[in-house]
Amino acid sequence: MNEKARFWRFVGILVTVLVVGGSFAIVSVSGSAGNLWTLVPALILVIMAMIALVVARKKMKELKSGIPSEDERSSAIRMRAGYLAFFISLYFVLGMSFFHAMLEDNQVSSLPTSEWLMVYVAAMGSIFLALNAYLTRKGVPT
Amino acid sequence: MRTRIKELRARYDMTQDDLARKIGVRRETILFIENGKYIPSLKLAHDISKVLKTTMDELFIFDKG
Repeated sequence: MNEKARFWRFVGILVTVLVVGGSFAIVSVSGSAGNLWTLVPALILVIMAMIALVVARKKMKELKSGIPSEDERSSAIRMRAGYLAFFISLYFVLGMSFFHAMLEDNQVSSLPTSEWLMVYVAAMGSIFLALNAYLTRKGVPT
Repeated sequence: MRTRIKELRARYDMTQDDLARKIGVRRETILFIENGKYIPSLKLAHDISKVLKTTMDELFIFDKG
Protein backbone atom coordinates (compact mmCIF):
# COMPACT_ATOMS: atom_id res chain seq x y z
CA MET A 1 0.00 0.00 0.00
CA ASN A 2 1.50 3.35 -0.97
CA GLU A 3 1.82 6.34 1.34
CA LYS A 4 -1.11 8.29 -0.10
CA ALA A 5 -3.49 5.31 0.14
CA ARG A 6 -2.31 4.68 3.71
CA PHE A 7 -3.01 8.31 4.65
CA TRP A 8 -6.52 8.28 3.17
CA ARG A 9 -7.25 4.95 4.87
CA PHE A 10 -6.28 6.61 8.17
CA VAL A 11 -8.59 9.59 7.43
CA GLY A 12 -11.44 7.19 6.46
CA ILE A 13 -11.19 5.17 9.68
CA LEU A 14 -10.95 8.35 11.71
CA VAL A 15 -14.03 9.96 10.15
CA THR A 16 -16.02 6.73 10.63
CA VAL A 17 -15.03 6.49 14.31
CA LEU A 18 -15.81 10.16 14.93
CA VAL A 19 -19.21 10.00 13.17
CA VAL A 20 -20.29 6.78 14.94
CA GLY A 21 -18.90 8.00 18.28
CA GLY A 22 -20.48 11.43 17.81
CA SER A 23 -23.89 9.88 17.09
CA PHE A 24 -23.53 7.68 20.17
CA ALA A 25 -22.53 10.66 22.35
CA ILE A 26 -25.50 12.75 21.11
CA VAL A 27 -27.97 9.91 21.75
CA SER A 28 -26.36 9.19 25.13
CA VAL A 29 -26.47 12.83 26.30
CA SER A 30 -29.99 13.57 24.98
CA GLY A 31 -31.37 10.31 26.40
CA SER A 32 -30.43 11.08 29.97
CA ALA A 33 -30.59 14.81 30.60
CA GLY A 34 -29.05 15.95 33.85
CA ASN A 35 -26.68 13.01 34.24
CA LEU A 36 -23.19 14.46 33.92
CA TRP A 37 -21.60 11.00 33.59
CA THR A 38 -23.07 10.70 30.10
CA LEU A 39 -20.84 13.59 29.03
CA VAL A 40 -17.81 11.26 29.42
CA PRO A 41 -18.11 9.69 25.91
CA ALA A 42 -18.47 13.15 24.36
CA LEU A 43 -15.38 14.32 26.24
CA ILE A 44 -13.41 11.25 25.09
CA LEU A 45 -14.50 11.94 21.54
CA VAL A 46 -13.34 15.56 21.68
CA ILE A 47 -9.94 14.45 23.03
CA MET A 48 -9.71 11.76 20.32
CA ALA A 49 -10.56 14.31 17.62
CA MET A 50 -7.90 16.71 18.89
CA ILE A 51 -5.21 14.00 18.97
CA ALA A 52 -6.29 12.78 15.53
CA LEU A 53 -6.04 16.30 14.12
CA VAL A 54 -2.46 16.66 15.35
CA VAL A 55 -1.51 13.19 13.98
CA ALA A 56 -3.21 13.88 10.62
CA ARG A 57 -1.39 17.22 10.25
CA LYS A 58 1.95 15.56 11.03
CA LYS A 59 1.25 12.74 8.57
CA MET A 60 0.18 15.22 5.86
CA LYS A 61 3.40 17.21 6.35
CA GLU A 62 5.49 14.02 6.08
CA LEU A 63 3.55 12.88 3.02
CA LYS A 64 4.30 16.19 1.27
CA SER A 65 8.03 16.03 2.10
CA GLY A 66 8.30 12.42 0.90
CA ILE A 67 9.20 10.87 4.28
CA PRO A 68 7.82 7.32 4.61
CA SER A 69 5.20 7.16 7.35
CA GLU A 70 6.38 3.69 8.30
CA ASP A 71 9.59 1.70 8.11
CA GLU A 72 10.93 -1.44 9.78
CA ARG A 73 11.87 0.37 13.02
CA SER A 74 8.50 2.08 13.41
CA SER A 75 6.76 -1.26 12.67
CA ALA A 76 8.87 -2.91 15.38
CA ILE A 77 7.98 -0.12 17.82
CA ARG A 78 4.27 -0.38 17.00
CA MET A 79 4.31 -4.15 17.51
CA ARG A 80 6.17 -3.87 20.82
CA ALA A 81 3.86 -1.05 22.01
CA GLY A 82 0.81 -3.11 21.00
CA TYR A 83 2.10 -6.18 22.82
CA LEU A 84 2.82 -4.23 26.03
CA ALA A 85 -0.42 -2.23 25.79
CA PHE A 86 -2.41 -5.47 25.52
CA PHE A 87 -1.08 -6.83 28.82
CA ILE A 88 -1.22 -3.49 30.66
CA SER A 89 -4.80 -3.00 29.42
CA LEU A 90 -5.78 -6.45 30.71
CA TYR A 91 -4.72 -5.52 34.23
CA PHE A 92 -6.21 -2.04 33.87
CA VAL A 93 -9.61 -3.34 32.77
CA LEU A 94 -9.58 -5.97 35.50
CA GLY A 95 -8.80 -3.34 38.15
CA MET A 96 -11.36 -0.89 36.79
CA SER A 97 -14.01 -3.62 36.63
CA PHE A 98 -13.63 -4.20 40.37
CA PHE A 99 -13.79 -0.43 40.92
CA HIS A 100 -16.90 -0.19 38.70
CA ALA A 101 -18.57 -3.08 40.52
CA MET A 102 -17.78 -1.45 43.86
CA LEU A 103 -19.27 1.87 42.72
CA GLU A 104 -22.38 0.12 41.46
CA ASP A 105 -22.79 -1.85 44.70
CA ASN A 106 -22.61 1.38 46.68
CA GLN A 107 -24.86 3.13 44.14
CA VAL A 108 -22.30 5.88 43.64
CA SER A 109 -21.99 5.65 39.86
CA SER A 110 -24.91 5.84 37.49
CA LEU A 111 -22.70 5.55 34.39
CA PRO A 112 -23.97 2.64 32.28
CA THR A 113 -21.64 -0.22 31.35
CA SER A 114 -21.58 0.86 27.68
CA GLU A 115 -20.11 4.23 28.73
CA TRP A 116 -17.60 2.48 30.99
CA LEU A 117 -16.57 0.41 27.97
CA MET A 118 -15.84 3.61 26.08
CA VAL A 119 -13.64 4.75 28.97
CA TYR A 120 -11.80 1.40 28.88
CA VAL A 121 -11.24 1.59 25.13
CA ALA A 122 -10.01 5.19 25.42
CA ALA A 123 -7.65 4.13 28.22
CA MET A 124 -6.31 1.24 26.11
CA GLY A 125 -5.71 3.65 23.22
CA SER A 126 -3.98 6.10 25.53
CA ILE A 127 -1.73 3.37 26.96
CA PHE A 128 -0.78 2.33 23.42
CA LEU A 129 -0.07 5.94 22.36
CA ALA A 130 2.02 6.59 25.49
CA LEU A 131 4.05 3.39 24.99
CA ASN A 132 4.48 4.17 21.29
CA ALA A 133 5.82 7.65 22.11
CA TYR A 134 8.10 6.26 24.84
CA LEU A 135 9.56 3.50 22.64
CA THR A 136 10.01 5.94 19.73
CA ARG A 137 12.31 7.99 21.98
CA LYS A 138 14.01 5.17 23.86
CA GLY A 139 14.13 2.51 21.13
CA VAL A 140 13.05 -1.11 21.17
CA PRO A 141 15.24 -3.78 22.76
CA THR A 142 16.93 -5.85 20.05
CA MET B 1 27.10 -2.96 18.17
CA ARG B 2 29.05 -0.10 16.61
CA THR B 3 28.77 1.19 13.08
CA ARG B 4 30.89 3.19 10.66
CA ILE B 5 27.87 4.78 9.04
CA LYS B 6 28.65 8.28 10.35
CA GLU B 7 32.24 8.09 9.09
CA LEU B 8 31.22 6.86 5.65
CA ARG B 9 28.40 9.39 5.40
CA ALA B 10 30.93 12.13 6.02
CA ARG B 11 33.18 10.66 3.34
CA TYR B 12 30.39 10.90 0.76
CA ASP B 13 29.15 14.23 2.17
CA MET B 14 25.79 12.74 2.98
CA THR B 15 23.38 13.78 5.73
CA GLN B 16 21.25 11.33 7.72
CA ASP B 17 18.26 12.64 5.78
CA ASP B 18 19.97 11.99 2.41
CA LEU B 19 20.82 8.43 3.40
CA ALA B 20 17.33 7.81 4.78
CA ARG B 21 15.70 9.04 1.57
CA LYS B 22 17.97 6.86 -0.59
CA ILE B 23 17.05 3.76 1.38
CA GLY B 24 13.41 4.69 1.96
CA VAL B 25 13.38 4.81 5.77
CA ARG B 26 12.80 7.54 8.33
CA ARG B 27 15.73 9.70 9.45
CA GLU B 28 15.31 8.55 13.08
CA THR B 29 15.99 4.97 11.97
CA ILE B 30 19.40 6.00 10.62
CA LEU B 31 20.09 7.94 13.85
CA PHE B 32 19.28 4.92 16.04
CA ILE B 33 21.34 2.56 13.86
CA GLU B 34 24.30 4.97 13.95
CA ASN B 35 24.12 5.10 17.75
CA GLY B 36 23.94 1.32 17.95
CA LYS B 37 20.50 1.46 19.54
CA TYR B 38 18.75 -0.41 16.75
CA ILE B 39 19.99 -3.46 14.90
CA PRO B 40 18.68 -3.28 11.32
CA SER B 41 17.28 -6.19 9.36
CA LEU B 42 19.54 -7.99 6.91
CA LYS B 43 17.88 -6.22 3.98
CA LEU B 44 18.25 -2.74 5.49
CA ALA B 45 21.87 -3.44 6.48
CA HIS B 46 22.50 -4.58 2.89
CA ASP B 47 20.83 -1.45 1.46
CA ILE B 48 22.86 0.87 3.70
CA SER B 49 26.13 -0.83 2.84
CA LYS B 50 25.28 -0.65 -0.87
CA VAL B 51 24.57 3.10 -0.72
CA LEU B 52 27.77 3.68 1.27
CA LYS B 53 29.73 1.48 -1.17
CA THR B 54 31.06 -0.92 1.43
CA THR B 55 30.34 -4.35 2.85
CA MET B 56 28.10 -5.17 5.80
CA ASP B 57 31.10 -6.63 7.59
CA GLU B 58 32.95 -3.32 7.35
CA LEU B 59 29.93 -1.26 8.30
CA PHE B 60 28.72 -3.06 11.40
CA ILE B 61 31.11 -4.00 14.17
CA PHE B 62 29.81 -6.41 16.79
CA ASP B 63 31.79 -6.32 20.04
CA LYS B 64 32.51 -9.64 21.67
CA GLY B 65 30.76 -10.39 24.92
